[in-house]
Amino acid sequence: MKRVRVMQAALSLALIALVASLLSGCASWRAPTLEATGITVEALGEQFVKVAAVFEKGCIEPRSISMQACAEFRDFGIQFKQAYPLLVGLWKAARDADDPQMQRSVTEVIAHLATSLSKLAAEGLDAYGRR
Amino acid sequence: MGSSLGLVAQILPLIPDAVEALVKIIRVLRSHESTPNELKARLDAISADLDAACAKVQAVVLPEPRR
Repeated sequence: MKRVRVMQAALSLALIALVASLLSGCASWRAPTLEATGITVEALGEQFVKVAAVFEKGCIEPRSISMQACAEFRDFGIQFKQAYPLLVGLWKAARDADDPQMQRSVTEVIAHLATSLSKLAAEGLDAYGRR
Repeated sequence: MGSSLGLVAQILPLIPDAVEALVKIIRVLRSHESTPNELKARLDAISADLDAACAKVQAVVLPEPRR
């Protein structure tokens, strides 16, 4: 079980580190920060797809993932699916507008979504591992 | 032990992707000397990748509520 905890911590840390590296990007480097933001948004989407696949399987198999965790992920997933295209649109607008304030807004939304996703992923994967 | 191995098998594919993205970001942050055309090409490529990611996210099937 200790190994499982280590793996969960690694997953969460990887996601958080991803965002932290973005946040630590020098504000005066407009283009690299915009690139980093775009890569992070893309990675966030890919991560959501993969975590959702774990939940999809675990929520069908009886007792794999708790009903509560499935319901929470469903609620989060609905919000994520609504927010993600807006986030992509925001990134494109930031790129076109060359607006530092808008880029900061994108970063804040990414940080919020990444934190929620890593927390839910840890809970769901933990429940999946306890079956 | 069996369930732990199952979980490890589920998680392992997720971590390299996250690490790979992190490495890409660090590379981008460190290599900030490029021509405007090179930069535009990279941003266009990211934009296309984001469109693809958007389509994948929209195609995700969420768990149905259980009774």
